[in-house]
Amino acid sequence: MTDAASAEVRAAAGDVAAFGFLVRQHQSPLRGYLRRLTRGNHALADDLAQETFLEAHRKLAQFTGQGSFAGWLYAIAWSRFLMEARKRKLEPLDDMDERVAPECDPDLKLELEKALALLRPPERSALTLCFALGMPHEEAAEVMNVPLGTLKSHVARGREKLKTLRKDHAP
Amino acid sequence: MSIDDLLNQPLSPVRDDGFTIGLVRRLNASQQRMRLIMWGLLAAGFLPVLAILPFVDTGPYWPDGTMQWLNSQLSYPLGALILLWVWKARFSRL
Repeated sequence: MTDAASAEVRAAAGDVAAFGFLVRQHQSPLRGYLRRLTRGNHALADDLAQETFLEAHRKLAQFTGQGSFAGWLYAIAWSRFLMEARKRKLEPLDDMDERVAPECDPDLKLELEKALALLRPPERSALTLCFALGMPHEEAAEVMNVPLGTLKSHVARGREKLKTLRKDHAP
Repeated sequence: MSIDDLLNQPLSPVRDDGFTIGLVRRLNASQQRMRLIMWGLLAAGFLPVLAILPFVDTGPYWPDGTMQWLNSQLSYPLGALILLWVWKARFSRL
């Protein structure tokens, strides 16, 4: 059994230190994912990350170990983000959002974040899960609780939008 | 660089900066609070019974000889256990 797997078992049995080990292991990618979802709002992303871990700790007994622990964690984070977005009316979740930032230059890595911020949250999430976090499409679909076809269309649409943005801002 | 290459770049690492410790502290505090609430509820449930017990003759409610058996067989081991528990808690703090 790996350290992470044994920590999952011990954490499920109520061992807070073991859960702390899991938090330390997953905090960076999870907070990075949430920062991207919240379009760089670090404070909100960290609040959501904390809520995600607290909820994970409460529901740890429900984690069956069928998927990866990380996937389960991202699923909680995604649903937390959606709840927060609806509550705060952060941005339209369903409507096409065609805003274009004039200073956006997606050729640079730094500018990728700005370009991603122009996408709808499901597209941003799907692209981040499948590319930056290297998740298989099936797992990403489970995380976002959508059918595989929907996930694939989020990915395709997001990529197309990024390509269009890139063309629009090419010198 | 293509869009896919850009997207494939890993997320920028986020430094822990006390995030984990803060979360573990919060979890410990909430567990302690839960324990306190649980014991508080238990005590609240038992206190009225304990308060009334000296004034009520419970003998008729017990089968014959039960009280005598409880007195002789249980009181000493129970007392020893309580003492042991108290001592253990005190010595483990040293």
